[in-house]
Amino acid sequence: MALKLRAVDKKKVPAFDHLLICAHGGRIDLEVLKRTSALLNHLIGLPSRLSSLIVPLESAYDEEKGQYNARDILKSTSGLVTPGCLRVIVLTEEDIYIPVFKYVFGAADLPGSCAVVSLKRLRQEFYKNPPDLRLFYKRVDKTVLHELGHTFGLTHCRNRHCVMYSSTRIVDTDFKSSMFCHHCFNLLADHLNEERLVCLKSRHDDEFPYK
Amino acid sequence: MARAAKKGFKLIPEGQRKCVWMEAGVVSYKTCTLNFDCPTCEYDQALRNKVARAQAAQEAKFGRTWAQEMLRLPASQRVCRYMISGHVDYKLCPSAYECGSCDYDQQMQERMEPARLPVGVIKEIMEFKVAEGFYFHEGHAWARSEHGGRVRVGVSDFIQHLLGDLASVQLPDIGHPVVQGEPVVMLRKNGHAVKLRAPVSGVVSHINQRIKEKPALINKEPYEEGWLFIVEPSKLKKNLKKLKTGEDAEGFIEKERERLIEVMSDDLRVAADGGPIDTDVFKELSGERWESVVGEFVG
Repeated sequence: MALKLRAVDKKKVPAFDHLLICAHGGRIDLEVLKRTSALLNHLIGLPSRLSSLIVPLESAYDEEKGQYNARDILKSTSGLVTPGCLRVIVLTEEDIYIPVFKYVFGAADLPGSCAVVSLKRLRQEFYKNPPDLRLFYKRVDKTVLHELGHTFGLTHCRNRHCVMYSSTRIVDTDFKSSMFCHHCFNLLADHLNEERLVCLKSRHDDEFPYK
Repeated sequence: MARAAKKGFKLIPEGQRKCVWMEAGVVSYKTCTLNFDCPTCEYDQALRNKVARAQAAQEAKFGRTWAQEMLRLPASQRVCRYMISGHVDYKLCPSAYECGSCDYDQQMQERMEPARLPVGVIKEIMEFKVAEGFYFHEGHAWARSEHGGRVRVGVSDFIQHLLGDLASVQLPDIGHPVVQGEPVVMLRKNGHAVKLRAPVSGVVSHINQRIKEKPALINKEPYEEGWLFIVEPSKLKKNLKKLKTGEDAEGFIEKERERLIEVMSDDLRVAADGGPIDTDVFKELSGERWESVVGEFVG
């Protein structure tokens, strides 16, 4: 089901600590936005809100490459950060890049409050394979968590199982888990208050078996 | 009863050649490790000293050098060292193995100098190529031992991606002494310049004139026609210990790739989870930014 997006008053956004999830271009499936919101709620304990604000498409488009510049998307997203909004996560169906890479699955301000995740290369159809929704959602989860980690100041991790491991190809994303390794977890913990930490820690201790 | 000598022969591994001392029958087994550059060979010098000592003590064993042994052979069997090394199919020694004053030897040396050894396996470490058998300096210059003990020098495929289209390449003069780790080549682009450091110490014996006219060769064939200069090394063994080859070189390029992502990400203030590095990354670098980013890796 495609989400019909319309511009809303920024004042309506709640003023307590939350994550804001919004679409770039308005072509995003509502289910993906809802799942991402639920995931972040479950994993980090941060309430997340779906925004009906649409990050405009045109300004970030690079005609020569036929892709969108993630850096420009992030720039135009920074205006969405309101009091109480900890981080803004933008999902897009378009192919994105930053000047160093041919393409990226996601990008985030370093350090900053905004992150963007492209769904295009996370779909099996992109690799000429039959659709696999389960795998697609797993990839979305990992990429969203990875970019969120960057916004909290985390850099790439050398542990191939850690969600902060840098994915050069989609197989790297498939290989890594959707959890932070012990080292990244401790770094992330510095940025979260006790309540969030308890939520994150309970799952971390149960589910990250890799050294 | 004297033990009967073992009958048999020792195989010379493929791609290797007998040392002249073995060829002359003075030693039973020794392969050449220095491309028949006997004047700079430590093994040759050590055996010559041994022969000199043996002659002084009038000992029968090790009483003759390889050249003296070869001269005992009939003239038809006194083969030239370039025949032993395989550079020529047939050549007999025209000057009693006094290679230093031999015209043919000089002629061969000159002929051999520009001949570049073929590049073997080129591995791809993510987006960047690493040639096997090449030694890499931390400043991204490579060194490769070639015939006559000389060392050819060029730049890594990694750094050529950052350099992009160069305006000019200023090479050292022939005869110019170079020191490992010291700046030796000036690479210029749009009024900005970076200095490439020498991977080995020695004296420049040849420069690649084609690079001066066509700097794009560095980008096109960094390990082949894009070489920069040739050095007569002075401390090769010591210098090579500080360079990276094989798996070490691959690991080095991998780390440099990560460093490039970090440098560029810091510059852009963006962290990304993403695909291969855009090998046209130089397009993002211009002017002072080019100088500072490239300088970060070669400097």
